[in-house]
Amino acid sequence: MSQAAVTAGRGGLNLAWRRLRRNPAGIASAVLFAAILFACFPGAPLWVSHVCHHSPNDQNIQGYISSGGHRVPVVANDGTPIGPGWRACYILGADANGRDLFVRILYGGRVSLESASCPPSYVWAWRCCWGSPPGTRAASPTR
Amino acid sequence: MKVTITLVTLAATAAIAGGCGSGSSSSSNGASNTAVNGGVLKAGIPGNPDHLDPALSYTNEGWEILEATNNGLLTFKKAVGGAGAQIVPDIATAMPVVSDGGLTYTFHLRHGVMFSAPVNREVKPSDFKFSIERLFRVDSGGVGFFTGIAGAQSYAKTRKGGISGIVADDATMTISFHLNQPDGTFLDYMATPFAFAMPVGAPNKDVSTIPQWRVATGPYRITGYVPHQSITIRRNPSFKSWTPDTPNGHLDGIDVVIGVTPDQSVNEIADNQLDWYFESIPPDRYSQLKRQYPKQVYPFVRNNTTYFVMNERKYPFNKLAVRQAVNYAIDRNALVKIYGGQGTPTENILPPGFGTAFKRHDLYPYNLAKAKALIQQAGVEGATVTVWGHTTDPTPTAVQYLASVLNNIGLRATVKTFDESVYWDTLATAKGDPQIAFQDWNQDYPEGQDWMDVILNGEHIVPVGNNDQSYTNIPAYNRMIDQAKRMPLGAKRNAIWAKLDYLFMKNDAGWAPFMNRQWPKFVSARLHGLVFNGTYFELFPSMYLTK
Repeated sequence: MSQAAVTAGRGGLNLAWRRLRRNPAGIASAVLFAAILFACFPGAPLWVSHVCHHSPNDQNIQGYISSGGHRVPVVANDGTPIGPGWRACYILGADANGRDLFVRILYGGRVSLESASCPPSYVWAWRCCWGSPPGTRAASPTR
Repeated sequence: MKVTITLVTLAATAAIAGGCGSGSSSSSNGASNTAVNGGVLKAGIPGNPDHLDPALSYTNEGWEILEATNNGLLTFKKAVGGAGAQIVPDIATAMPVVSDGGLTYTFHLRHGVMFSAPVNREVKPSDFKFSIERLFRVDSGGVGFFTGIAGAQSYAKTRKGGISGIVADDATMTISFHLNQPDGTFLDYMATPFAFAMPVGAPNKDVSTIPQWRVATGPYRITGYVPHQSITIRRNPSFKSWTPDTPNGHLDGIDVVIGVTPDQSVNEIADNQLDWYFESIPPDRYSQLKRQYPKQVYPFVRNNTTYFVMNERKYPFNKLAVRQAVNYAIDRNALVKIYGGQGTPTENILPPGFGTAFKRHDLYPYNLAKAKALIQQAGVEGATVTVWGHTTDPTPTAVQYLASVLNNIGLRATVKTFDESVYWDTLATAKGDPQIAFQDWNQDYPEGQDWMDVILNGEHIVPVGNNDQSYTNIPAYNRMIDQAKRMPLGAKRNAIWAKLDYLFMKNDAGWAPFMNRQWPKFVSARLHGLVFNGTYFELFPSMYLTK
C-alpha cells in the first residue's frame, strides 16, 4: 500500500498522530503523562475518599497503622516517620508531621500540572484570538 | 529570649534549698585530670549569635562565648557536678556584704583584672556602674533584673544622671547596690552576663561588630567576627587567672564557622572536620548517633519550658476560652515526638527542676471536641491566625502542627517563620506583636522568679526587650509575685510560685506549655572536658583536645 497516497488527504492532527504512533518513546511518554493526569486529577480525591482516608494536610503524629501484621506508629517516639511499604496508606511513608507522602505527591502534582498548563494555555488562547480570524478569511476563497 | 541554658533537677533543688545557688548539670567527656593544653576548637553554629555584647546577648550561644571572654563581680562555679551550682566571687574579692536588712550589697573588687587591648587598664568599680546603666541605654533584654536597684526605674525613663542606688568608689575599689526591696536573687543577677564589666566609654549600641569595643577580661577574646561567616576566638594576652573559678582554659582558640546546619554538623563531627556544635543533635539523628557513637553523645536535661505564647491583646486570643481551647487542642505527646522524643510533656509553666516550686497540674487533658466547643462558644470560628516560629529544625514542624490543630478547631491558621537570629528580638518588640508564637524559656538562674516575674509579671511589659509576650497583666497575680520576690529563698516562697503556676494556667492560660526539653550534644572523638553549667551552658575554658 502506498503510504503517500493514504496520507495525502489527511490533516495536521492526523499526521501528528501517525508520527507519534511510529515513536515508541513518544507513546510511552504519552501513556505516562495520561497516567499522571489521571492519578492527580480524578485519582487524588478518589484515593483519599476510597483508599486512604486522610487529606494531604492531615497530620497523624500519634496514629498507628497495621503493616505486615504489626501495629506500627506513623511517627516513632524518636520522631522518625514511617518509611515506604506496600500498604493502603503511607505507601511512600510519612513526613515528620505524620502526613501521607503519597497523598501529598498526588495533590502536589495537581499544583505542578496546573501551573505548567498555564503558559501553553495562554499562548494557545492568544494565538486563537489573533490568528483565527485572518486564517479563516485567507482560507475561505479556496473552499 | 534565652534559647538554651540547662540545669539538672537535683542540683537545682539543692541549690534553692541551700540559698543563693544556681543549678548546673555537668558531665565530663573523659577524665579532666588528663587535660592537655593547645589546639584550636573547630566549632559550628547555624546562624549568627544574637549579639556578642554582654549587655545585649540573651541566648545560650552568646552566653557560652561571653562566659569565656568576660567577667562579672560574681560567677557560677566552673566545676563538674553539684559544685557548679554555687555562686562564687569572680572580680569581687569575696561574696558581698549584705546590710540594711537585705537592701544593700557591697562588693570589694580585686586589683589587677585587666581589660584587653585597646583599653588596656584595670577594671574599676565605675565600670560596673557604667555597665549596669548601659543596659538601660541599649534597651537590653536584661534590664528587668536591675529595675529593683534604687533609682533604676527613673533612670530607665530619663537615662540621665546615672542610677542613684549604685555607688562606686574607684579609690577604695568598692561598689554598693541599694535595692528598693530585699531580693534574694540579686546575687543570681550579678552573675549573669548582663552584669559583666564593660569599660566606661563603650558606645550605647551593640558592640558585636565593633572590634575596639569588644573588650575582654577573661581567658579568651573575640578577635574576629564576620556575620554569616565566622567568629574567631583566641587567648587574651592580658589575662592572668585570679581565681580557679576563672581558669586559664586549655584551648588556644576557637574557630566558629557560621552557617552550619544541624545535619551538616553531624556529618562533619563524624568526619572530624568539626569538634563541637552550638545546637543539639537533630532529633531524627539522635537514636542512630547514640547507637553508633555512644561515647560522643551527651543527653542533658535543661531547665526549660517550651510553649506557644498567645497574645492576650490580639483577637482571637484576647478571649480566655480561645486560649483554653488551644491548651485542650494540642497533643503534647505528639509535640514531644516532633522533638525526637527529646523532652517530657508538660502543661506547667515552671520546669520540674525547680524543686517544691513545681507541682504538676493536669488542667488541660487532650480534648479536641472540647476545644472546638470553646471556639464556638467564644464566637471566633473562622478567625484568621498567623502562627510565628523560627526556621531552626524542628520548630517549623511544630508550628505547622499547631497551625493544623488550630484549623481543626475552627480557626484559619497559616505559618510565618523567621531566621532564628532575628526571631527572638522581633518577638520581644511591641512592633512584632504576633497573635500566637513558638516560645522557649530557659533559666537565667534557677528560681521560680526567673519565670514568674520575668515572663508573667505585667508590671514589666515594655515596648522593646519585652519578655511578657502574652501581655499577661493581672494585678492580683502581679502583687503575689512581688510579695514572693521579697521573701528569702526556700519552701514558702516556692509554694507561692507553685500556686501561681496553677492560677495562671487555669484563669489566664496565656501560654500553652508543652514540653521540658532535653539538649543532646554530639561532639568529636578528640574533644573532652565538657562541663555543662546551668547558666552558662557549656564552658569553653574547660574543654580540651586530644590528638
